[in-house]
Amino acid sequence: MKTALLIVLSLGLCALALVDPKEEVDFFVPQGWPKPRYNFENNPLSPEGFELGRSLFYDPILSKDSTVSCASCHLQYTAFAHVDHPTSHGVDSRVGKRNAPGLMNLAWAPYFHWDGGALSLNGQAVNPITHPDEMGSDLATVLSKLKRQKDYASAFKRVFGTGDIKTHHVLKALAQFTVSLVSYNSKYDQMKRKEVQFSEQEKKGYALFQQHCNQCHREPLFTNFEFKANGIGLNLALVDSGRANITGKDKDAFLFRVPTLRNVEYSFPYMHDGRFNKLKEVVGHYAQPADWNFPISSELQKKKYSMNSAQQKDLLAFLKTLTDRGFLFNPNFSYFSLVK
Amino acid sequence: MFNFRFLTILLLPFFFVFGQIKVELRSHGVPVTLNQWYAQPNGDSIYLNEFKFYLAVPSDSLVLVDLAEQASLHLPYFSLDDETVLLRIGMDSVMNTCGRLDGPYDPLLGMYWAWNTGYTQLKCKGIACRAGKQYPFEYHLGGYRSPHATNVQKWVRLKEGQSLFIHLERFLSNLPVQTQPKIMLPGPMAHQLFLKFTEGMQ
Repeated sequence: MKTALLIVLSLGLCALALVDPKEEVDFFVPQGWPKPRYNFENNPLSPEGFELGRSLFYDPILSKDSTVSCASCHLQYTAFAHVDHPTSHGVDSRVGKRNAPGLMNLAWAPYFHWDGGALSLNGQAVNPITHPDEMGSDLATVLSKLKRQKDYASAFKRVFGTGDIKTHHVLKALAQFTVSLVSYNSKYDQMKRKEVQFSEQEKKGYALFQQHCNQCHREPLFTNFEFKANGIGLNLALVDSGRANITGKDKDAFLFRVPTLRNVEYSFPYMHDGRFNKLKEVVGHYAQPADWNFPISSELQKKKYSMNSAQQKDLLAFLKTLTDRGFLFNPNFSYFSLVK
Repeated sequence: MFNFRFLTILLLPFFFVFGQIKVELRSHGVPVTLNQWYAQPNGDSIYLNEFKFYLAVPSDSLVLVDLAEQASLHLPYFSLDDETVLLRIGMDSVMNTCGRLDGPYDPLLGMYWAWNTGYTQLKCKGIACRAGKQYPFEYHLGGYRSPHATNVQKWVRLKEGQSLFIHLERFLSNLPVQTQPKIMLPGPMAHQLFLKFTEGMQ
C-alpha cells in the first residue's frame, strides 16, 4: 500500500514538473543603478523565454519575405546598432528615415524609439515588424508562419503553456531577450567599483564629461531619457520632425531622444539620421558651438563651451571607457536558432 | 439531479446570450451596419466600411465593439441592479499605457497605434456622398493626454434585456469629410469628433 502511494506521489510530482517546467530567473540590477521600469511581473524571465526571444530576434521569419531579422539592423558586435548605414534598410532594400539605435539597458527606458512613440518594450516590436521600410510584415502573417513551424510551436508551448501562439506571446518572448541585454561592465563601471583606475587622460575626460555632458547623458545609464535638439540642424533630405510626430506639439519639433553613451565607441554611425561616422566627429560637433544650427535645446544653449583639441582627445578617451566588451562579445547574446 | 444538470448545461448558452446587453448603433432610428448607404436628412448619404471603438463596462472589462464582428456587439455580462451603469467609451491613460497586449489590447485587432503612442479609440472609415460628389474619409481617433484625451465616462440607464443604443446622427453629420477627410493624430480635431460620438450614447 505504502509503495503504491509513493509511486502515485512520484508520478504526481513528475506530472507537475512536466506541466510547468519553467524556472524563473531574477533580473540582475547592477549596484547603484535605479529600479528598472520594466514590469517583470507581467513577463517573468525564464531561460526558455530568453532562448525563444533570442531565436526570434535572429530569425528573418518575422519579415514579410523572410529576409530581414531584428539582428539585421541590431548587430551585437556594434552594440546592437546598425554599423555603416546612416539610416537602416529593410525588406526590398527599402531605406528608412532613422539610424537604428543600439539596444542595451532597455529595462530602465520609459519609452522607445527616437521619438518615444512606443511606451512599452513589449509593444515596441510591433513597429519594426510592420513598418514597410523595415520588416514590412503584418502580425497575422507572422503568427501564421510561426504556428506552421513545429519547433516554434513547441517552444511557445513550453514558455507560455500553449501552442496557440498569440501576438502578446511573440512580443513578450522578444522582450525577454532584449530586456536581458544589460551592459554594466565597462572600464567606467569597474572604475566606479574601484576594481581599476582611470588613466590621467581618462580622468581629465571624465571631468569634462561631468562638466558638459552629464546633464543629458546622465550616469549611470548615460541618458536622461528626455528629448532634445543638439544643434546638428535639420536634415532636409529626411523630413523628420521627431518627437512632434508623436505629440503633435510645435515645441517638440525636431527633438529626439537622448541616446545612451554606453558602448558608444561601437555604435556608429551617430545621431538620429546617422550623419556622423566617427566618434571624434561627434565630439568635434559639441566642441564647436559657433557651428551649431537651429534648433538647440536650452541645456546646450547655456553651455556653449568650446573644447580645444587636447580636451577633445581627453573626452574621447573617457567615452571609450564606456565600452563593455563582455557585453559586445557575450556568446549568450549571439546568433541562436531553435529551429532544427 | 441528472435532469437539473442537463437543463443547466442546455440553458447556459441562452443565459449568456440573453443576459447580455447588446450594442446597437443607429442613425435617425435606422440600425447602422457596414457596407450600406444611409440617407441623411440634409441630403447627404453615408457609407461605412469600418466602424469600431473601445468600450469599458463594469468590472473593468474592456471590449472592442466592431461592426464587422457580430459577436463583439454582445457585451460581457454585468449586473444592472439599479438600472444605471457607468460605461467608459475609450481607454483611460492607465489602460493605454499598461503594456498589456492580449485580449482586446492585441495589436492584431488593428487598434494599437503602432506609429504613435497608445491606442486608437475609434476607427471609422467610409464614403460620404454630398451633392452628387463622393468624399472618402478615414478617422483614427485617439490620444490619452490631457486636454485631448479620447475617453469619456457616462452613466447610462439600462434594464436587463434592453439594448445599449448609440445614436450616430451627431457624429455622422459632423464628419469634416471635405475639410479634413483623414484624422490620424491625437489633438483637438480627433478629440472633438470623438466627443460627438460619445454624445450619442444615452
